Amino acid sequence: MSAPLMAVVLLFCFAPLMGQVFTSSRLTYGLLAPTGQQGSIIGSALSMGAVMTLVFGVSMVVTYFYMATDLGTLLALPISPSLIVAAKFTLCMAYEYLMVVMYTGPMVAGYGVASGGGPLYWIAAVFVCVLLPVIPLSYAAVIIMIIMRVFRRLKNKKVLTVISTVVAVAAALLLSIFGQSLSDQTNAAGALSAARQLNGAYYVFPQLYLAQGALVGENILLLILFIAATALTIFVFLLLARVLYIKGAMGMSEVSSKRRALSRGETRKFMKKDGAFGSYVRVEIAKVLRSPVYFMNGVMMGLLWPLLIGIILIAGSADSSGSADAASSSAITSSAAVASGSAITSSAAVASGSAAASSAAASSGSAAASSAAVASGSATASSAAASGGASSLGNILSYFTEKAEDPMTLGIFMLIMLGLLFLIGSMDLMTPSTISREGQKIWFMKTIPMSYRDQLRAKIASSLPFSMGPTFVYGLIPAIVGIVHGMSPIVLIYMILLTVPSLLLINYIQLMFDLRWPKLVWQNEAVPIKQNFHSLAASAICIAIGAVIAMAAITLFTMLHVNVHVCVLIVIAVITALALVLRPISLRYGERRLEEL
Amino acid sequence: MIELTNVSKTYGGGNKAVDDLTWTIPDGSITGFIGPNGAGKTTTIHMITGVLAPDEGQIKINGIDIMKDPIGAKKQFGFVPDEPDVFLRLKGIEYLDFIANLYDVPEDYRRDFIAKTAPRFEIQNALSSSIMSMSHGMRQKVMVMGALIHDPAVWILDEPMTGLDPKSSYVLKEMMHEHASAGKTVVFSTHVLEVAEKLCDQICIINHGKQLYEGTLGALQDQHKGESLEEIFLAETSDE
Repeated sequence: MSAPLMAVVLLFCFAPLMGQVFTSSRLTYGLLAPTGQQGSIIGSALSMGAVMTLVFGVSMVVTYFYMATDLGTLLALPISPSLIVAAKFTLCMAYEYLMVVMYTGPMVAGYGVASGGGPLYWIAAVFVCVLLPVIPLSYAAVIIMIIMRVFRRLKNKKVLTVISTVVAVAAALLLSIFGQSLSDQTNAAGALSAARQLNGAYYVFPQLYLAQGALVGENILLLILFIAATALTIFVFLLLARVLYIKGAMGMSEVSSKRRALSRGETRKFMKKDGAFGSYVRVEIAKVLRSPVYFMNGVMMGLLWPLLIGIILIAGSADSSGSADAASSSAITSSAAVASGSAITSSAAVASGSAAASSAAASSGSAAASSAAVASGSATASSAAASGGASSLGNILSYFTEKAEDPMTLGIFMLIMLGLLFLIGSMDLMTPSTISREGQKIWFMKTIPMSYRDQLRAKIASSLPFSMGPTFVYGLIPAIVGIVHGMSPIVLIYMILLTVPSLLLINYIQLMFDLRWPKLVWQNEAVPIKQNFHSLAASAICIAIGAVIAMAAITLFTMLHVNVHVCVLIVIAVITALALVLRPISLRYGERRLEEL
Repeated sequence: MIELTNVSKTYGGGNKAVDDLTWTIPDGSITGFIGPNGAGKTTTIHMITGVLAPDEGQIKINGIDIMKDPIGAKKQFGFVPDEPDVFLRLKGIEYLDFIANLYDVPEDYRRDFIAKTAPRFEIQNALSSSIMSMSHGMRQKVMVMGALIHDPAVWILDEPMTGLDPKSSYVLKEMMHEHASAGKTVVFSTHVLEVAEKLCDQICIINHGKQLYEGTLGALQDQHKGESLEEIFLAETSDE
């Protein structure tokens, strides 16, 4: 995909989020202006931007400063280390601007529109937004450079990738939990108090006082001081980098190993005869589990996506009383929740350094979130509203407990499971990249004495556990909780009958997409996963199919008054039939495509 | 034996990479496949190994047509690619086990093979490590072992000496001699003409997709008395 087209796609994907943040900021200004506390909006915007830049900057610095393979080449050239560091820092800055564009920029713009800011405000806004990431990113870079200089054991790319990704994901989860705490506020005073928690960032980044003053007070002197403080930070950073960076970066190894002979037991274990199919499946699984990039995107994402969507849906659901206070406070809290929730979607991808792809992942997460909400959340929401407003997880559980024996409860639960299945299955990027991940080594598939059909079956069989695992975690546990609270145990049987054909159907669709548009030319193994928009398209289509099936089921139940058990069985039958039809089609297509590739 | 009959391959845009190639690679000999860059060597090898389908002609490996019975034909050969960077996340021993399972190699045989071959290549201490942690030469050795673990009738090697240390090159050449002496087929492509000159019984020279010479090295040298293979090669390909 060309860069301009990618920019358009990203803008399209992020526009709703940016719009929501902008609107929230405007509404909150209206709420806080009578109390004279509207400056807190700018404070929150700057704090959020600075903190997120710092948090994600850690992973980005690790990736671009230490994981990039160009350092050996660069050091041999007549280029000063400061220039190398400055170039890498600029690259990280470019990615960090995504955070600024998504969150800080719209919040500042919303404030500016609501306050009727003059030319000086907007000039200050541009300067502040452009310079905001510099200081937190400098802090992140210096911290990492010191760590890498001191702890030589970290000079292992695999270890570093996993650590930095876990740190990023943990940070994003903490941000999400913080976002959920904001969502518990129900009035302006509470929202203001919660938002002020972010102002702790000012202790770490005192320069933010200057930026806030420049914006809120439209003060050019404070703006100049902020620019000067930023310039000073860069100067000090480059001085430190000259001392810390190169020696810390030299000697990074891709992977370490100890040379030792195999023991007799190991030889017996490794040399055990197995069928070709089973062996192929095991190797495919090993390739995913042992690659940090594939592990994060294949295993972790499947576990994190439902958590993310759950936090967004639950934290974002507001009291439906309709009061202005509640609506306004929910504007701050929901935007914070969405912002922090979306942070999870980007975290693992950002840690591996591909911000464009992480943005796409975030945007697909947003699309997935909204589709899942359509598929399964609307019924929940309307039922919750009808019962008087279930606005928290506790209330939702109470609702299910009270109405456990109601057939509608079973229907709602199965609808949620359907949405969950299609969401988890679609967001698992292993099957949609199973051919692309072969890259230029696809010749191996063509030279071994195993039919293409069997190899494709093995690839699907190896991908299934990565989506079945999270499905059972996020489906089985609620099912058991529901049964304990009085739901019919048949829900477990329905779940099992629904899971396998649903995931197979999704896998066949995703496989066909990857066969049709394989991304085989790459040097970095992250490319077939995170810069492969066809896999996202496949995921979107699978989610859409899930939504259509869910809508059809809702129509059957609500309008045609079909018994809920019959509805569930019809859905299972339809999905199973689709999977059975698509199986031979996808395998035949696969055989033909592999001959052509 | 490998038989290519009137094989052609054209890439998009009308570029004929291999042009009406007819070539028989006999059993019991080592055949060298040489040609300048872009001559069509890799394309030919890819067609023999099933990576590419020929546009015209027929390819048989030990009498099995690779287009009609690809699985049967693929069981006949072991292929060593020019780039050994496959399955980097697997340990060397896991890769060999995987290949052995694909070719249905009995347990005892694979254990004996590794016990004999790994020390020969001096990588017995490296097999427990991931392929990613190995140098290029060590990876190449693992690929060679993987290609031979099922004792194929035909060896197809694409630039096999690249990255191998002198001792390992020597060991590989020895193994190629042993394999050919047992009446099996060895064909390899190389740019190192001194190796081809010392090792090969048969030679095929290709340029611009066309076969320039096919036959014994001795006969070729008879035609160009007193010249080294390098000089013969340069002469044969100079006006192309």
